[in-house]
Amino acid sequence: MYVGVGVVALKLVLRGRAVRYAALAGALLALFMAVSPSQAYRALIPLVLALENLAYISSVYADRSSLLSAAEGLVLSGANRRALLLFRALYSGLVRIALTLPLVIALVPVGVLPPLYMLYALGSSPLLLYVVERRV
Amino acid sequence: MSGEVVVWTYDLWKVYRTPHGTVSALKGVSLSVRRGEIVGIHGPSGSGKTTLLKILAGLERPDRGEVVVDGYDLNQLDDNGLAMLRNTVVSLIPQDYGLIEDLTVFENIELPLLLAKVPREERRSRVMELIDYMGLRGRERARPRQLSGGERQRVAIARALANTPSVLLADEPTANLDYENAIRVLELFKRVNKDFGTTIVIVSHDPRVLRYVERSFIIRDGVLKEVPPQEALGSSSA
Repeated sequence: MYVGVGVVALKLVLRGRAVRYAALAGALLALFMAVSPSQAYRALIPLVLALENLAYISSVYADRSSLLSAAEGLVLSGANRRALLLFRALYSGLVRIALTLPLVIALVPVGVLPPLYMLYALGSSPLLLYVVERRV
Repeated sequence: MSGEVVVWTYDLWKVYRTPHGTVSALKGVSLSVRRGEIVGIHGPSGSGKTTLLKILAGLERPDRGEVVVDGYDLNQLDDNGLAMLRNTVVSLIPQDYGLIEDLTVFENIELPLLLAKVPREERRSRVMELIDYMGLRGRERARPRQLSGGERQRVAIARALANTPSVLLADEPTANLDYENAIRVLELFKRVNKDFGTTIVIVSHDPRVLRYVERSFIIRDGVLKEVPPQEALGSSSA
């Protein structure tokens, strides 16, 4: 059962907005790094991280109907409560990984991404997802 | 048809608490459905039809009363037991079909088999068998939003049948369909019942359903009683 919900979470993330947002973010970061002097990275890092958080929230908000339909489909197909919790945790974690990946690839080599950011991102995503779900 | 009772409830009560007070959705509902029967439960909106189906599917628990589905006493089952029941014994098709919008037709039908850990090849052959049975060949890769209402309903029925459940529960199956598709879906229920021996409970306020059921019940203000079809017809239009 748990493998099944993992497969569904992965498919949903790959077909959702997060991957498109991540591709766009990656392209913008690459462009920015190509045209800016390296000192500019440090000044802009808070803005980049704020945008990443915003992208996460807007991505799960925009895909909320898909998320809710998935939860309903899983329950009707025989998923138990624990499997649903796992599904939400995996979904939020995978969306966050997709969105932070361009940041990691672009900013870690030049040493401007706070080392604990990935930990914060993964740790906070289930809570943010919960807040978004409660608001709809 | 054997005389074995497959769905049995006794004195079911369900009360919802709202900010405006309490609402009694079910008031002492007792129901008995034999294996292989098709029964219709009719009644106006808000009469308790959907609540009854949700309890039979193990999605909600009654405040009081007994529910037994295919030998399983639902009051005795924990969350895992109820999940297993929904996976293999009783399938609910909700009014909005409950399909996952970002999965294809094939993947939606495959889902209960995936959760039941059925091996890949076996899953594939079962899903293709159901796709053929439902007349959905060629639509395997479509997403639900690309399908007509009738096709979505057939995908939902296919998913519900994936693990060959004993009982199929359909909530307002014709509500979002035009005349032609509604008749087609009702004919399909009849065929499923005949081919697989599946017991089917259809909850509806559509009078057309009456032609396809063997017994009719009406539910009004949470009270259920068995009636001849003509009487159910009167209640459906209420």
